[in-house]
Amino acid sequence: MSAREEILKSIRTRLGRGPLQSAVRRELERSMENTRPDLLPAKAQEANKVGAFVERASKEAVTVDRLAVLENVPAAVFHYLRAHGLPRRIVSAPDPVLEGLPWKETEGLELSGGPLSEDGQAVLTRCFAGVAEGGVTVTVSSQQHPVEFNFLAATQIVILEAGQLLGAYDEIWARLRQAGTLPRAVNMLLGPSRSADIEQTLELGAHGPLRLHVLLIGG
Amino acid sequence: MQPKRQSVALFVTCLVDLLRPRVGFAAARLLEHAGFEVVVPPQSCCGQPNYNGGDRRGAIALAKRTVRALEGFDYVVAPSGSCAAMIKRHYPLLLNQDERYATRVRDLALRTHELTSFLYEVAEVHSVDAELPAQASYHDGCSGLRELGISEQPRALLRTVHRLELKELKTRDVCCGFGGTFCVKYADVSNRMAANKTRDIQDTGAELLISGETGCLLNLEGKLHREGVPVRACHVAEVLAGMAEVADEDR
Amino acid sequence: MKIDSQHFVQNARIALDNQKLQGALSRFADAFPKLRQQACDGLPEFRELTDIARDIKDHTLENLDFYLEMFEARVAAAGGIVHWARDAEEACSIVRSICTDQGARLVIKSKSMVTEEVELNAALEEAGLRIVETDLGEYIIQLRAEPPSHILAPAIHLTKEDVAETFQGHHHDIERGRGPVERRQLVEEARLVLRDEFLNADVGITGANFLVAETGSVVLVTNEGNADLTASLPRTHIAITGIEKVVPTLENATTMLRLLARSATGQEFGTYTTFFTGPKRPEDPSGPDNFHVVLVDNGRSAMLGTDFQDMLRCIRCSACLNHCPVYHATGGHAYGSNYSGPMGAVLTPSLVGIEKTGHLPNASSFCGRCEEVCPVQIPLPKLMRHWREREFERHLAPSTMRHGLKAWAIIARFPRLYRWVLQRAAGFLRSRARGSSEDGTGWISRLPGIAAGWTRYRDMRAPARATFQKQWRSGRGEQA
Repeated sequence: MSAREEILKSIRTRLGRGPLQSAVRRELERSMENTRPDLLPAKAQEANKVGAFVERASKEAVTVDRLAVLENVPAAVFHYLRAHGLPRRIVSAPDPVLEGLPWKETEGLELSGGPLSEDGQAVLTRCFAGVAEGGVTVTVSSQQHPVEFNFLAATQIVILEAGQLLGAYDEIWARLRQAGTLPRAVNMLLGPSRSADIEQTLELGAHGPLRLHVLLIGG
Repeated sequence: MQPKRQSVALFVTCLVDLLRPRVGFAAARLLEHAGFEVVVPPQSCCGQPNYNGGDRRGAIALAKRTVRALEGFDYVVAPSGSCAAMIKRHYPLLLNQDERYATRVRDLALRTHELTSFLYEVAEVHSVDAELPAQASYHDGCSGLRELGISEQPRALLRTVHRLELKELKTRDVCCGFGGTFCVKYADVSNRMAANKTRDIQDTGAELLISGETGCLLNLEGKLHREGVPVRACHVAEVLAGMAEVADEDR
Repeated sequence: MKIDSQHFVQNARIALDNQKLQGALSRFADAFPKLRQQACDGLPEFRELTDIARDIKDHTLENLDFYLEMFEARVAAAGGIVHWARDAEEACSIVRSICTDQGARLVIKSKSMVTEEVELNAALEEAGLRIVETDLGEYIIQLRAEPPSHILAPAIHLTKEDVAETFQGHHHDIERGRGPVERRQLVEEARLVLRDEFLNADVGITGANFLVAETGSVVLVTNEGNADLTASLPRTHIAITGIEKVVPTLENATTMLRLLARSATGQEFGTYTTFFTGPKRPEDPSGPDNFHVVLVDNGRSAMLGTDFQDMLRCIRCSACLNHCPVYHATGGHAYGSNYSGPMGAVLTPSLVGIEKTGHLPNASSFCGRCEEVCPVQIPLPKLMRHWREREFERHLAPSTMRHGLKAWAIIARFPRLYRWVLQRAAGFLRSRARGSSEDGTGWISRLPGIAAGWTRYRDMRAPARATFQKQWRSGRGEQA
């Protein structure tokens, strides 16, 4: 018997039965198709999603900048880097929307090609959604969003449009199910990388970014 | 014609029986004052040491014995959260498969109460006529707190004791390290837990430690004495019954 | 799993005498419960969510074969491979083969209790692989060749000076300033050193916080982001975890996530929570080409249908450790198991047997805080009691205790015998009392036999001459 067979057999024996009958299996499959959330907390159902998102993200060392329109992004990026004393250089994700922004209008800001293996870079990406319930920013791996953009840079700047804001975490799945299969990675980000492993004191930038900055467009 | 008083079987607990009889008298006084007829049926141990020690057979035997001993009374009251919880929460688990005891044990569980919750919630006694000028802290016994929800009731009653000032411990709901046989089996760890409590007691500035649990009291009283800390320890029943200052003549 | 639980008493004593450890533990004991309480206060639905989480887990366990088979099928559909390991040896062998088959030299790991349990690192090193822990705490203790002392915060027992010393001994190319050690510098140093490893590793091994049957996804939660780097940069990602980690749907996983970070560290949510499904897609610019999941049994299926089934609900949040007064006194190493605290006291005997691990479920005062804070409502004291019952039945408990309890059960069944014994005991104790305090009370400071544990550290006030029942029967004297 293979390990698989032995383990499944052990499970069934201990539960006092054989393999599940097909009627039972169908019933289990059917109940899985009910994709209603188990319970939506009140904080996931607030009307003012923008306000809730900003408040909750800010509590976790995420900084949020409100912009009127997408076109203001390059200037906002420049201001942020300058305000933090960082090199005025940004690595933008390979996203046509980002490529189409008015970069040339912002003097002094260099669009860099990386490589991200070098530490200390600042990256710019879009995202899949924001979740007001927790102030969480959601990205998914895709051609336009290589996964290392979330983790290898020192500074991560994310563009979140107000229309992308969801109330509850569960809504992520509702939206992704529409697309079919899940991508390789669905990332839920709440703040810069941190560790309290040394003397139980929080330090930022353990491996991932030291800074997570959200540019919230509209709303 | 006077209405017949309801009867309370006082289940004193073996620690009170052996080591702190005055608690039993204090409990009796409080219950009589509240208008109950207090009876002390021949009784022994609720079986907790056996139950927690893994001797399930012994625990079942003692549970049956206790069920029989406490039958026929309107209420059963114990000056101990852990013994009351043993009867209310754990006796049914031990005896609900036994035909001869299943109903009787459920009935006993409903009739059984810890002392301060009985006074406050059942007898609706919301104040006492006692005086004790002292700054005191109340320690919550774990079973009473977590299994029976006893926390506010003793404090509400203590607040009516004239001139008694209650100051809460920072670690009021942290285990004192008694835990039955735990304190002798794992003496080093138990000692650390007790020492943490006595330090908190001193930091709080209390001159009197009060608890509804005799095991906790003996543990902390003994530790305070070994450390040379002049803080007294009393059972909540003793304080409420105005018997905290009674000299121990029969020593 | 290496076990040293038989020496709990000695190891506890060492831990109690270790001032540095005690300092760390008392800071910890103060901080974590407050953080959790704040986080729970911030979510009014918390209690209800724990009811739902408990039910999700119970339902899953009752149908574990179904959900594991579905998980396997969905992983395969997404382009990954599921392996099944009956025991530790098999788990190590599977992972070793995956690594050597692709000619791997460097393996990076994020935290996984299961890999400690099966001793994976040693097995891979034997095969000539270099393996680097990326969780900062795990990395530090790996350098020190120590076991973890907490399931979430492995280096909780160390000071920054300890860490600096360790780094100095291992990181040779780092320029350091003089002056006092700063935590910030240490974190930056680790970031620098580990970055190289991330970028050069051939295989990334992670655990899994949850497995989602519906989609074949592996959920990883960290605050550092190291699990994401581990799972994304090397060309092969292996996730290894216990068979009990599966939950049916994405919504169920979301419910568990609402509870996990709050229970563990008092955070609203993990800093990095990722659902990984299969290897990279053809259109992804980066990501692993190979995705493997290793499902480990190692004694878990044997817990189903027993008194201990509820322990399989555990989501490894560590809330029970964070609230346990025994853990606060001794720290994790004293337990002599990878799994310490209340959950370790129940799980360790389940995995390796009660023969060597009897101290763990016995070293508890049953204060009940663990059960109170468990987000899946595992009745931990009850399960510890079941272990004590097993020990009693099998005569594994110390015989003095066994005989004492049996004697007590007999004595307490016969009221007259009981009263007589108590009366004798009162007399015996009074005879041991020495001196008197101001109110004429004697105190006992030495007791024999098993009771010596009491008087080692505390006194006992001598009892009254007569027991309560005797006084009551002889006419209601209001004496002591």
